[in-house]
Amino acid sequence: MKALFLADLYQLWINFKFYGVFLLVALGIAAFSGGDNSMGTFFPMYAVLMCSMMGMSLLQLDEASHWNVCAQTLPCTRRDQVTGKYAVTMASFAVTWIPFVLLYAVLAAMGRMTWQMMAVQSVLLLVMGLLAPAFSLAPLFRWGSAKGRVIYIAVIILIAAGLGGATAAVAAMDQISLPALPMPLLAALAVVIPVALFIGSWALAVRWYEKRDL
Amino acid sequence: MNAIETHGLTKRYEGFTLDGLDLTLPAGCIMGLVGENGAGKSTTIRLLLGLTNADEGTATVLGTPAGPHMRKVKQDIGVVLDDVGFPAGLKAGQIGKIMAAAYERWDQGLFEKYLRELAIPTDKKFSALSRGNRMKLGIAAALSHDAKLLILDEPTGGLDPVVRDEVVDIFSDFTRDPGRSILISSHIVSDLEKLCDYIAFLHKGKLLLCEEKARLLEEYGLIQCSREELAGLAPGAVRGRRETPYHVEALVRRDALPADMAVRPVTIEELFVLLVKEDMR
Repeated sequence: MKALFLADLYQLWINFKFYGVFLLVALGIAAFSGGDNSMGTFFPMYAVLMCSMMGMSLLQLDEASHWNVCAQTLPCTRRDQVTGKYAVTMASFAVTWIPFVLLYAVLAAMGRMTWQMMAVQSVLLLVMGLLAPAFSLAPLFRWGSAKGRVIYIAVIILIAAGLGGATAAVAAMDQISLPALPMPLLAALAVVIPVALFIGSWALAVRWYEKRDL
Repeated sequence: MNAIETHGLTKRYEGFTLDGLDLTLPAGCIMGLVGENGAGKSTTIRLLLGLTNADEGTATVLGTPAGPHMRKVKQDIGVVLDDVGFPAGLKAGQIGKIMAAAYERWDQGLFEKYLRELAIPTDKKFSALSRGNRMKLGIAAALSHDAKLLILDEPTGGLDPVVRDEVVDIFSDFTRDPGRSILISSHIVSDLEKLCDYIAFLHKGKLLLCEEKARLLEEYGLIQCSREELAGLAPGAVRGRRETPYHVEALVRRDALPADMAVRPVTIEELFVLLVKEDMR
Protein backbone atom coordinates (compact mmCIF):
# COMPACT_ATOMS: atom_id res chain seq x y z
CA MET A 1 0.00 0.00 0.00
CA LYS A 2 2.84 2.37 0.97
CA ALA A 3 4.58 1.59 -2.33
CA LEU A 4 1.44 2.39 -4.30
CA PHE A 5 1.05 5.72 -2.49
CA LEU A 6 4.68 6.56 -3.16
CA ALA A 7 4.25 5.79 -6.86
CA ASP A 8 1.13 7.98 -6.94
CA LEU A 9 2.95 10.80 -5.15
CA TYR A 10 5.77 10.70 -7.70
CA GLN A 11 3.23 10.70 -10.53
CA LEU A 12 1.31 13.61 -9.00
CA TRP A 13 4.49 15.61 -8.63
CA ILE A 14 5.65 14.88 -12.18
CA ASN A 15 2.33 15.41 -13.92
CA PHE A 16 0.29 17.80 -11.76
CA LYS A 17 2.70 20.09 -9.94
CA PHE A 18 1.25 23.15 -11.68
CA TYR A 19 -2.09 22.42 -10.10
CA GLY A 20 -0.77 24.12 -6.91
CA VAL A 21 -0.31 27.36 -8.87
CA PHE A 22 -3.81 27.06 -10.34
CA LEU A 23 -5.24 26.49 -6.84
CA LEU A 24 -3.56 29.67 -5.56
CA VAL A 25 -4.92 31.64 -8.54
CA ALA A 26 -8.44 30.25 -7.97
CA LEU A 27 -8.23 31.12 -4.26
CA GLY A 28 -7.08 34.63 -5.15
CA ILE A 29 -9.93 35.15 -7.62
CA ALA A 30 -12.45 33.85 -5.08
CA ALA A 31 -10.98 36.13 -2.38
CA PHE A 32 -11.07 39.27 -4.52
CA SER A 33 -14.46 38.60 -6.13
CA GLY A 34 -16.09 37.83 -2.80
CA GLY A 35 -17.09 34.20 -3.46
CA ASP A 36 -20.80 34.82 -3.93
CA ASN A 37 -20.87 35.71 -7.61
CA SER A 38 -20.30 33.77 -10.79
CA MET A 39 -16.49 34.38 -10.88
CA GLY A 40 -16.10 33.49 -7.24
CA THR A 41 -18.13 30.33 -7.75
CA PHE A 42 -16.81 29.09 -11.09
CA PHE A 43 -13.10 29.04 -10.23
CA PRO A 44 -13.46 27.17 -6.92
CA MET A 45 -15.74 24.64 -8.58
CA TYR A 46 -13.36 24.22 -11.48
CA ALA A 47 -10.45 23.72 -9.05
CA VAL A 48 -12.41 21.13 -7.05
CA LEU A 49 -13.45 19.33 -10.22
CA MET A 50 -9.86 19.22 -11.45
CA CYS A 51 -8.49 17.81 -8.22
CA SER A 52 -11.30 15.29 -7.85
CA MET A 53 -10.35 13.89 -11.26
CA MET A 54 -6.75 13.27 -10.22
CA GLY A 55 -7.44 9.68 -9.15
CA MET A 56 -8.85 9.00 -12.60
CA SER A 57 -5.96 10.71 -14.34
CA LEU A 58 -3.49 8.63 -12.30
CA LEU A 59 -5.34 5.45 -13.19
CA GLN A 60 -5.15 6.35 -16.87
CA LEU A 61 -1.42 7.03 -16.55
CA ASP A 62 -0.99 3.68 -14.78
CA GLU A 63 -2.76 1.86 -17.58
CA ALA A 64 -0.80 3.67 -20.27
CA SER A 65 2.50 2.57 -18.70
CA HIS A 66 1.13 -0.85 -17.57
CA TRP A 67 2.00 0.03 -13.97
CA ASN A 68 -1.48 -1.16 -12.96
CA VAL A 69 -0.40 -4.69 -13.97
CA CYS A 70 3.15 -4.42 -12.63
CA ALA A 71 1.82 -3.14 -9.29
CA GLN A 72 -0.21 -6.32 -8.96
CA THR A 73 3.00 -8.34 -8.91
CA LEU A 74 4.04 -6.45 -5.75
CA PRO A 75 2.76 -7.52 -2.32
CA CYS A 76 -0.61 -5.80 -2.63
CA THR A 77 -4.13 -6.76 -3.62
CA ARG A 78 -6.60 -5.35 -6.09
CA ARG A 79 -8.47 -3.86 -3.12
CA ASP A 80 -5.29 -2.00 -2.12
CA GLN A 81 -4.92 -0.62 -5.62
CA VAL A 82 -8.52 0.63 -5.73
CA THR A 83 -8.33 2.01 -2.19
CA GLY A 84 -5.13 3.85 -3.07
CA LYS A 85 -6.75 5.69 -5.97
CA TYR A 86 -9.84 6.62 -3.91
CA ALA A 87 -7.57 7.79 -1.06
CA VAL A 88 -5.50 9.95 -3.44
CA THR A 89 -8.75 11.39 -4.82
CA MET A 90 -9.97 12.17 -1.30
CA ALA A 91 -6.64 13.68 -0.28
CA SER A 92 -6.36 15.91 -3.34
CA PHE A 93 -10.00 16.94 -2.86
CA ALA A 94 -9.34 17.82 0.79
CA VAL A 95 -6.25 19.84 -0.17
CA THR A 96 -8.48 21.94 -2.42
CA TRP A 97 -11.77 22.01 -0.52
CA ILE A 98 -10.43 22.94 2.93
CA PRO A 99 -8.65 26.16 1.79
CA PHE A 100 -11.83 27.28 0.02
CA VAL A 101 -13.99 26.60 3.09
CA LEU A 102 -11.50 28.54 5.22
CA LEU A 103 -11.51 31.38 2.69
CA TYR A 104 -15.32 31.49 2.68
CA ALA A 105 -15.30 31.56 6.50
CA VAL A 106 -12.91 34.51 6.46
CA LEU A 107 -15.06 36.30 3.86
CA ALA A 108 -18.19 35.63 5.95
CA ALA A 109 -16.45 36.90 9.10
CA MET A 110 -15.47 40.06 7.21
CA GLY A 111 -19.07 40.51 6.14
CA ARG A 112 -18.31 40.04 2.43
CA MET A 113 -20.69 37.08 2.17
CA THR A 114 -23.42 35.72 4.41
CA TRP A 115 -22.82 32.66 6.63
CA GLN A 116 -25.68 30.94 4.82
CA MET A 117 -23.99 31.55 1.47
CA MET A 118 -20.72 30.31 2.94
CA ALA A 119 -22.42 27.02 3.93
CA VAL A 120 -24.13 26.65 0.54
CA GLN A 121 -20.90 27.25 -1.38
CA SER A 122 -18.94 24.82 0.79
CA VAL A 123 -21.56 22.08 0.42
CA LEU A 124 -21.79 22.68 -3.31
CA LEU A 125 -18.03 22.21 -3.66
CA LEU A 126 -18.23 19.04 -1.57
CA VAL A 127 -21.02 17.64 -3.74
CA MET A 128 -19.12 18.39 -6.95
CA GLY A 129 -15.83 17.07 -5.59
CA LEU A 130 -17.27 13.74 -4.48
CA LEU A 131 -19.85 13.04 -7.17
CA ALA A 132 -17.47 13.36 -10.13
CA PRO A 133 -15.09 10.60 -8.95
CA ALA A 134 -17.95 8.56 -7.47
CA PHE A 135 -19.52 8.21 -10.92
CA SER A 136 -16.30 7.97 -12.95
CA LEU A 137 -13.79 5.88 -10.99
CA ALA A 138 -15.72 2.62 -10.66
CA PRO A 139 -16.39 2.30 -14.44
CA LEU A 140 -12.71 2.99 -15.10
CA PHE A 141 -11.77 0.11 -12.81
CA ARG A 142 -14.37 -2.12 -14.46
CA TRP A 143 -13.70 -1.45 -18.13
CA GLY A 144 -10.28 0.16 -18.16
CA SER A 145 -9.40 3.66 -19.27
CA ALA A 146 -10.13 3.09 -22.97
CA LYS A 147 -13.81 2.17 -22.48
CA GLY A 148 -14.18 3.99 -19.18
CA ARG A 149 -13.15 7.23 -20.90
CA VAL A 150 -16.58 7.43 -22.54
CA ILE A 151 -18.20 7.44 -19.11
CA TYR A 152 -15.54 9.86 -17.88
CA ILE A 153 -16.41 12.29 -20.70
CA ALA A 154 -20.16 11.90 -20.03
CA VAL A 155 -19.58 12.71 -16.35
CA ILE A 156 -17.48 15.75 -17.26
CA ILE A 157 -20.28 17.03 -19.53
CA LEU A 158 -22.91 16.46 -16.84
CA ILE A 159 -20.75 18.07 -14.17
CA ALA A 160 -19.96 21.02 -16.45
CA ALA A 161 -23.68 21.48 -17.06
CA GLY A 162 -24.31 21.21 -13.33
CA LEU A 163 -21.48 23.63 -12.66
CA GLY A 164 -22.97 26.14 -15.09
CA GLY A 165 -26.39 25.74 -13.50
CA ALA A 166 -25.02 26.03 -9.99
CA THR A 167 -23.02 29.14 -10.92
CA ALA A 168 -26.15 30.78 -12.32
CA ALA A 169 -28.19 29.66 -9.31
CA VAL A 170 -25.68 31.10 -6.86
CA ALA A 171 -25.62 34.38 -8.80
CA ALA A 172 -29.42 34.58 -8.51
CA MET A 173 -29.57 33.20 -4.97
CA ASP A 174 -31.67 36.00 -3.52
CA GLN A 175 -34.40 35.39 -6.13
CA ILE A 176 -34.65 31.66 -5.43
CA SER A 177 -37.04 30.36 -2.84
CA LEU A 178 -35.45 27.30 -1.22
CA PRO A 179 -37.57 24.18 -0.61
CA ALA A 180 -39.56 24.08 2.55
CA LEU A 181 -37.07 21.71 4.22
CA PRO A 182 -35.04 23.08 7.14
CA MET A 183 -31.58 24.29 6.07
CA PRO A 184 -29.57 21.99 8.40
CA LEU A 185 -31.45 18.95 7.07
CA LEU A 186 -30.82 20.00 3.48
CA ALA A 187 -27.14 20.53 4.22
CA ALA A 188 -26.88 17.19 6.00
CA LEU A 189 -28.55 15.39 3.06
CA ALA A 190 -26.31 17.21 0.60
CA VAL A 191 -23.27 15.93 2.50
CA VAL A 192 -24.44 12.43 3.37
CA ILE A 193 -25.65 11.46 -0.11
CA PRO A 194 -22.38 12.24 -1.99
CA VAL A 195 -20.29 10.66 0.79
CA ALA A 196 -22.46 7.51 0.65
CA LEU A 197 -22.21 7.43 -3.15
CA PHE A 198 -18.42 7.83 -2.94
CA ILE A 199 -18.11 4.93 -0.48
CA GLY A 200 -20.53 2.84 -2.55
CA SER A 201 -18.48 3.61 -5.65
CA TRP A 202 -15.33 2.37 -3.86
CA ALA A 203 -17.02 -0.91 -2.86
CA LEU A 204 -18.28 -1.44 -6.42
CA ALA A 205 -14.85 -0.62 -7.87
CA VAL A 206 -13.18 -3.23 -5.60
CA ARG A 207 -15.73 -5.84 -6.64
CA TRP A 208 -15.40 -5.07 -10.34
CA TYR A 209 -11.61 -4.77 -10.31
CA GLU A 210 -11.17 -8.12 -8.58
CA LYS A 211 -13.11 -9.79 -11.39
CA ARG A 212 -11.29 -8.01 -14.19
CA ASP A 213 -8.56 -9.74 -16.20
CA LEU A 214 -5.54 -7.44 -16.29
CA MET B 1 6.65 -28.27 -0.94
CA ASN B 2 6.25 -27.56 -4.64
CA ALA B 3 6.92 -24.00 -5.73
CA ILE B 4 4.10 -24.11 -8.27
CA GLU B 5 1.25 -26.54 -8.77
CA THR B 6 -1.64 -26.32 -11.21
CA HIS B 7 -4.47 -28.80 -11.64
CA GLY B 8 -6.81 -28.61 -14.60
CA LEU B 9 -6.10 -24.89 -14.96
CA THR B 10 -8.37 -23.55 -17.68
CA LYS B 11 -8.89 -20.10 -19.14
CA ARG B 12 -11.13 -19.41 -22.11
CA TYR B 13 -10.77 -16.42 -24.41
CA GLU B 14 -12.42 -15.89 -27.76
CA GLY B 15 -10.36 -18.02 -30.14
CA PHE B 16 -8.05 -19.47 -27.49
CA THR B 17 -8.35 -21.81 -24.53
CA LEU B 18 -5.70 -22.76 -22.04
CA ASP B 19 -6.94 -26.25 -21.56
CA GLY B 20 -6.69 -28.11 -18.26
CA LEU B 21 -3.05 -27.37 -17.48
CA ASP B 22 -1.41 -29.72 -14.96
CA LEU B 23 2.03 -28.47 -14.01
CA THR B 24 4.31 -29.02 -11.03
CA LEU B 25 7.51 -27.13 -10.32
CA PRO B 26 9.35 -28.69 -7.38
CA ALA B 27 11.02 -26.25 -4.99
CA GLY B 28 14.66 -25.60 -5.88
CA CYS B 29 14.19 -26.27 -9.60
CA ILE B 30 14.05 -24.22 -12.79
CA MET B 31 11.29 -24.89 -15.28
CA GLY B 32 11.22 -23.50 -18.79
CA LEU B 33 7.90 -22.88 -20.52
CA VAL B 34 8.36 -23.26 -24.25
CA GLY B 35 5.72 -22.53 -26.84
CA GLU B 36 5.01 -20.62 -30.02
CA ASN B 37 3.26 -17.22 -29.95
CA GLY B 38 -0.21 -17.63 -28.50
CA ALA B 39 0.54 -21.06 -27.02
CA GLY B 40 -0.58 -19.95 -23.55
CA LYS B 41 2.71 -19.14 -21.79
CA SER B 42 1.79 -15.61 -20.74
CA THR B 43 -1.75 -16.69 -19.85
CA THR B 44 -0.31 -19.36 -17.56
CA ILE B 45 1.97 -16.83 -15.86
CA ARG B 46 -0.87 -14.31 -15.47
CA LEU B 47 -3.08 -16.97 -13.90
CA LEU B 48 -0.32 -17.89 -11.45
CA LEU B 49 0.09 -14.24 -10.43
CA GLY B 50 -3.64 -13.62 -10.04
CA LEU B 51 -3.62 -11.08 -12.86
CA THR B 52 -6.25 -13.17 -14.62
CA ASN B 53 -8.98 -15.27 -13.05
CA ALA B 54 -9.19 -18.95 -14.02
CA ASP B 55 -12.42 -20.36 -15.45
CA GLU B 56 -11.69 -23.81 -14.03
CA GLY B 57 -9.00 -25.60 -12.08
CA THR B 58 -6.65 -24.51 -9.35
CA ALA B 59 -3.19 -23.01 -9.08
CA THR B 60 -1.03 -22.66 -5.98
CA VAL B 61 2.14 -20.62 -5.72
CA LEU B 62 4.45 -21.39 -2.75
CA GLY B 63 1.46 -23.11 -1.14
CA THR B 64 -0.94 -20.16 -1.57
CA PRO B 65 -3.92 -20.31 -3.95
CA ALA B 66 -3.39 -17.94 -6.87
CA GLY B 67 -5.90 -15.11 -7.20
CA PRO B 68 -6.55 -11.41 -6.75
CA HIS B 69 -6.29 -11.66 -2.94
CA MET B 70 -2.63 -12.79 -2.86
CA ARG B 71 -0.53 -10.37 -0.85
CA LYS B 72 1.86 -11.90 1.68
CA VAL B 73 3.18 -14.61 -0.63
CA LYS B 74 4.21 -11.97 -3.16
CA GLN B 75 6.96 -10.94 -0.73
CA ASP B 76 8.61 -14.19 -1.84
CA ILE B 77 8.02 -13.84 -5.58
CA GLY B 78 10.10 -11.85 -8.03
CA VAL B 79 8.36 -11.15 -11.32
CA VAL B 80 9.45 -9.93 -14.71
CA LEU B 81 6.62 -9.64 -17.23
CA ASP B 82 7.17 -9.46 -20.99
CA ASP B 83 6.14 -5.81 -20.83
CA VAL B 84 7.89 -4.30 -17.81
CA GLY B 85 5.53 -1.60 -16.61
CA PHE B 86 7.03 0.91 -14.22
CA PRO B 87 5.55 4.42 -14.15
CA ALA B 88 6.78 6.18 -17.27
CA GLY B 89 8.15 9.34 -15.69
CA LEU B 90 10.23 7.70 -12.95
CA LYS B 91 13.97 7.05 -12.86
CA ALA B 92 15.69 3.90 -11.56
CA GLY B 93 16.36 5.47 -8.14
CA GLN B 94 12.70 6.36 -7.62
CA ILE B 95 11.63 2.89 -8.75
CA GLY B 96 14.08 1.48 -6.18
CA LYS B 97 12.38 3.55 -3.46
CA ILE B 98 8.95 2.23 -4.47
CA MET B 99 10.26 -1.33 -4.35
CA ALA B 100 11.86 -0.66 -0.95
CA ALA B 101 8.45 0.44 0.33
CA ALA B 102 6.84 -2.70 -1.11
CA TYR B 103 9.23 -5.46 -0.04
CA GLU B 104 10.21 -6.22 3.56
CA ARG B 105 13.55 -7.76 2.50
CA TRP B 106 14.47 -5.20 -0.17
CA ASP B 107 18.25 -4.94 -0.54
CA GLN B 108 19.10 -1.48 -1.90
CA GLY B 109 22.81 -2.32 -2.13
CA LEU B 110 22.09 -5.39 -4.26
CA PHE B 111 19.73 -3.37 -6.49
CA GLU B 112 22.43 -0.76 -7.06
CA LYS B 113 24.93 -3.51 -7.78
CA TYR B 114 22.65 -4.91 -10.51
CA LEU B 115 22.12 -1.40 -11.91
CA ARG B 116 25.90 -1.09 -12.29
CA GLU B 117 26.56 -4.63 -13.52
CA LEU B 118 23.82 -4.50 -16.12
CA ALA B 119 24.76 -0.93 -17.12
CA ILE B 120 21.24 0.43 -16.62
CA PRO B 121 21.10 4.23 -17.08
CA THR B 122 19.99 5.82 -13.79
CA ASP B 123 19.63 9.36 -15.14
CA LYS B 124 16.91 8.54 -17.68
CA LYS B 125 13.19 8.26 -17.14
CA PHE B 126 11.75 4.77 -17.56
CA SER B 127 9.88 5.85 -20.70
CA ALA B 128 13.18 6.96 -22.27
CA LEU B 129 14.89 3.58 -21.74
CA SER B 130 15.27 1.08 -24.57
CA ARG B 131 13.29 -2.16 -24.37
CA GLY B 132 16.43 -4.00 -23.34
CA ASN B 133 17.21 -1.56 -20.52
CA ARG B 134 13.60 -1.68 -19.30
CA MET B 135 13.85 -5.44 -19.15
CA LYS B 136 17.17 -5.22 -17.28
CA LEU B 137 15.64 -2.81 -14.76
CA GLY B 138 12.74 -5.23 -14.26
CA ILE B 139 15.21 -8.06 -13.71
CA ALA B 140 17.25 -6.00 -11.22
CA ALA B 141 14.07 -5.20 -9.25
CA ALA B 142 12.91 -8.83 -9.28
CA LEU B 143 16.26 -10.07 -7.98
CA SER B 144 16.75 -7.55 -5.15
CA HIS B 145 14.27 -8.65 -2.51
CA ASP B 146 15.47 -12.14 -1.63
CA ALA B 147 12.64 -13.90 -3.48
CA LYS B 148 12.13 -17.66 -3.19
CA LEU B 149 10.52 -17.92 -6.60
CA LEU B 150 11.13 -16.02 -9.81
CA ILE B 151 8.36 -15.94 -12.40
CA LEU B 152 9.77 -14.62 -15.66
CA ASP B 153 7.85 -14.03 -18.87
CA GLU B 154 10.25 -13.66 -21.81
CA PRO B 155 12.86 -11.92 -19.63
CA THR B 156 15.64 -12.18 -22.20
CA GLY B 157 13.60 -10.72 -25.08
CA GLY B 158 15.17 -7.54 -26.40
CA LEU B 159 18.56 -8.21 -24.81
CA ASP B 160 21.70 -8.51 -26.92
CA PRO B 161 23.46 -11.91 -26.82
CA VAL B 162 26.20 -10.77 -24.40
CA VAL B 163 23.77 -9.33 -21.84
CA ARG B 164 21.46 -12.30 -22.37
CA ASP B 165 24.26 -14.63 -21.45
CA GLU B 166 25.05 -12.50 -18.38
CA VAL B 167 21.40 -12.52 -17.31
CA VAL B 168 21.14 -16.29 -17.74
CA ASP B 169 24.19 -16.62 -15.47
CA ILE B 170 22.53 -14.35 -12.88
CA PHE B 171 19.41 -16.54 -12.94
CA SER B 172 21.58 -19.60 -12.62
CA ASP B 173 23.36 -18.08 -9.58
CA PHE B 174 19.96 -17.28 -8.06
CA THR B 175 19.14 -20.98 -7.74
CA ARG B 176 22.40 -21.87 -5.95
CA ASP B 177 20.35 -21.48 -2.79
CA PRO B 178 18.49 -24.82 -2.79
CA GLY B 179 15.15 -23.32 -1.72
CA ARG B 180 14.86 -21.05 -4.74
CA SER B 181 12.93 -21.83 -7.91
CA ILE B 182 12.34 -20.24 -11.30
CA LEU B 183 9.54 -20.51 -13.83
CA ILE B 184 10.70 -18.93 -17.06
CA SER B 185 9.05 -18.64 -20.44
CA SER B 186 11.06 -17.84 -23.52
CA HIS B 187 11.19 -18.17 -27.28
CA ILE B 188 14.94 -18.39 -27.01
CA VAL B 189 15.12 -22.10 -26.35
CA SER B 190 18.91 -22.13 -26.17
CA ASP B 191 18.69 -19.96 -23.01
CA LEU B 192 16.29 -22.43 -21.45
CA GLU B 193 18.45 -25.35 -22.46
CA LYS B 194 21.36 -23.81 -20.53
CA LEU B 195 19.31 -22.94 -17.49
CA CYS B 196 16.43 -25.33 -16.87
CA ASP B 197 15.97 -28.57 -14.96
CA TYR B 198 12.47 -29.10 -16.35
CA ILE B 199 10.98 -28.22 -19.70
CA ALA B 200 7.26 -27.84 -20.39
CA PHE B 201 6.06 -27.59 -23.99
CA LEU B 202 2.83 -25.69 -24.56
CA HIS B 203 1.08 -25.81 -27.91
CA LYS B 204 -2.27 -24.20 -28.69
CA GLY B 205 -3.16 -24.00 -25.01
CA LYS B 206 -2.32 -27.62 -24.24
CA LEU B 207 0.63 -29.14 -22.47
CA LEU B 208 2.42 -31.32 -25.02
CA LEU B 209 5.10 -32.53 -22.66
CA CYS B 210 6.57 -31.76 -19.25
CA GLU B 211 9.74 -33.60 -18.29
CA GLU B 212 13.12 -33.24 -16.70
CA LYS B 213 15.45 -31.81 -19.33
CA ALA B 214 18.10 -34.49 -18.83
CA ARG B 215 15.49 -37.19 -19.23
CA LEU B 216 14.09 -35.64 -22.40
CA LEU B 217 17.54 -35.51 -23.95
CA GLU B 218 18.12 -39.09 -22.88
CA GLU B 219 14.78 -40.41 -24.13
CA TYR B 220 14.69 -38.69 -27.50
CA GLY B 221 17.07 -38.60 -30.42
CA LEU B 222 17.25 -37.88 -34.14
CA ILE B 223 17.70 -40.34 -36.95
CA GLN B 224 18.20 -39.90 -40.67
CA CYS B 225 16.71 -42.60 -42.86
CA SER B 226 14.56 -43.29 -45.91
CA ARG B 227 10.76 -43.23 -45.85
CA GLU B 228 10.70 -47.02 -46.12
CA GLU B 229 13.02 -47.46 -43.13
CA LEU B 230 10.88 -45.03 -41.15
CA ALA B 231 7.72 -46.94 -41.98
CA GLY B 232 9.36 -50.11 -40.64
CA LEU B 233 9.92 -48.70 -37.15
CA ALA B 234 7.82 -49.73 -34.18
CA PRO B 235 4.55 -47.83 -33.73
CA GLY B 236 5.02 -44.94 -31.28
CA ALA B 237 8.76 -44.69 -31.96
CA VAL B 238 8.44 -41.66 -34.22
CA ARG B 239 7.33 -38.44 -32.52
CA GLY B 240 8.16 -35.98 -35.29
CA ARG B 241 9.66 -35.76 -38.75
CA ARG B 242 11.18 -33.38 -41.25
CA GLU B 243 11.14 -34.62 -44.84
CA THR B 244 13.47 -33.58 -47.66
CA PRO B 245 13.58 -34.97 -51.23
CA TYR B 246 16.58 -37.13 -50.23
CA HIS B 247 15.82 -38.44 -46.76
CA VAL B 248 13.71 -38.11 -43.66
CA GLU B 249 14.94 -36.72 -40.36
CA ALA B 250 12.85 -38.08 -37.52
CA LEU B 251 12.50 -37.43 -33.84
CA VAL B 252 12.36 -40.81 -32.16
CA ARG B 253 12.09 -42.42 -28.77
CA ARG B 254 15.39 -44.19 -28.26
CA ASP B 255 13.85 -47.09 -26.32
CA ALA B 256 11.60 -48.02 -29.24
CA LEU B 257 14.41 -48.36 -31.78
CA PRO B 258 16.50 -51.36 -32.78
CA ALA B 259 19.69 -51.42 -30.68
CA ASP B 260 22.03 -51.05 -33.67
CA MET B 261 20.37 -47.95 -35.11
CA ALA B 262 22.52 -44.79 -35.16
CA VAL B 263 20.84 -42.01 -33.20
CA ARG B 264 22.23 -38.54 -32.74
CA PRO B 265 21.39 -36.32 -29.75
CA VAL B 266 18.55 -33.84 -30.11
CA THR B 267 18.49 -30.26 -28.84
CA ILE B 268 15.50 -28.92 -26.93
CA GLU B 269 14.77 -26.56 -29.83
CA GLU B 270 14.71 -29.42 -32.38
CA LEU B 271 12.60 -31.48 -30.01
CA PHE B 272 10.05 -28.70 -29.64
CA VAL B 273 9.86 -27.79 -33.32
CA LEU B 274 9.44 -31.40 -34.44
CA LEU B 275 6.86 -32.19 -31.76
CA VAL B 276 4.79 -29.14 -32.69
CA LYS B 277 5.02 -29.88 -36.42
CA GLU B 278 3.92 -33.46 -35.82
CA ASP B 279 1.00 -32.24 -33.75
CA MET B 280 -0.02 -29.91 -36.57
CA ARG B 281 -0.02 -32.72 -39.18
